[in-house]
Amino acid sequence: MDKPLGTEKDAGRPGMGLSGLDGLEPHTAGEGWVPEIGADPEVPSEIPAHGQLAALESIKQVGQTAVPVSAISPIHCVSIVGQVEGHILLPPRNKTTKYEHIIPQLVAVEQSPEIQGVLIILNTVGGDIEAGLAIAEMIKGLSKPSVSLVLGGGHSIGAPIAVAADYSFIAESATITIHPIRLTGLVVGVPQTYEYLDKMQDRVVRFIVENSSIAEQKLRELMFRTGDLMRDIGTVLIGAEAVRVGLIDEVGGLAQALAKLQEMIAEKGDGGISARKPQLAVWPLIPRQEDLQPQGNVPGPGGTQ
Amino acid sequence: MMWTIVPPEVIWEGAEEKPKDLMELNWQGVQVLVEPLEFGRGRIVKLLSTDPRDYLKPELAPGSVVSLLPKKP
Repeated sequence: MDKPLGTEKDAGRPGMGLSGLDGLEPHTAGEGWVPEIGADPEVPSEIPAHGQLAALESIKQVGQTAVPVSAISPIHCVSIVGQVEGHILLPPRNKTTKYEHIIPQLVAVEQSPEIQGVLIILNTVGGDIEAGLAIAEMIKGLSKPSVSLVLGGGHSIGAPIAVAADYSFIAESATITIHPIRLTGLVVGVPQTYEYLDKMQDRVVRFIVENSSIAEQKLRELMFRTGDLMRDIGTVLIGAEAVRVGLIDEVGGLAQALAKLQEMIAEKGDGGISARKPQLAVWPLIPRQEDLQPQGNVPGPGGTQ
Repeated sequence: MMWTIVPPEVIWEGAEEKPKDLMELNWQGVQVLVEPLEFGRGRIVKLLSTDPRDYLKPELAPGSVVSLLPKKP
């Protein structure tokens, strides 16, 4: 980097710095020229930070010059907005959150060593029950700290998603509508349909009760309350009301949510477990291969007699 | 099954319209489903990758428009 190189002629030369064949020429940060990381043993010592490596990789892959210096933030943000789209593609007028994209994102959050926590921001009108519960279960299953923040609205299937996080916040003005599940809102066809709806309802109620401080009786009471919603049954919980009934943990905004997440990350430390949830006992149930192997010279299960 | 505060007639408005033609292709090493647009561009509809990290890339988020033309040598 000490020699003045990188003239315009060099920059346009094909193959420059790509394979180390022209390794005698020192690399420079000339205009229009992007160093290939790892191609030249002289280069990496100057770019040790992983974030910078990732940023340069991004230039190489995407051809974009405007990339942040630190490519990976320790906190990732997942927004659940509009309709939670499920098994049926909704007409284009709907603003939707696609669960098939959110789920692998959460997988990436869980397995990425750089990501330490996740913030779930909700402003949803509800949507597909299966897709919503899938997202909620994925959030619940994260071992990394998660905090949810309901802004605007977290209606219907938004409620289980909000409570799935380790800690939940609701903005003062945000609302959560709790109402029964139904097909069209008009008529219920046959008794079987009604029973099916009831079962769907139970799934959601159970999830919310298990993951928040609200009592099942209270939740059902709110769900079937009359006189609160005009011409309908159910309840609209605004900000502090959602906290009072035990559905949401705290009223707060972005600063509080991020502070809580940071606090939980710090509490968790390296290799610890999530701040509030106990780690699921998955491993002891599946015996490791080493545990199955008998000690010493005792013949194994396959080599009897 | 939907559980939402939005009336079904609002959600399903326009559902009769013909779905867009989509094409599956490999965009910079990632298998994606795109809706072709004019001028050699495409809008990403869905990722078909099994690498979770691909799903964190902002340029691959559904709805983002990418160039489908081969990169200049």
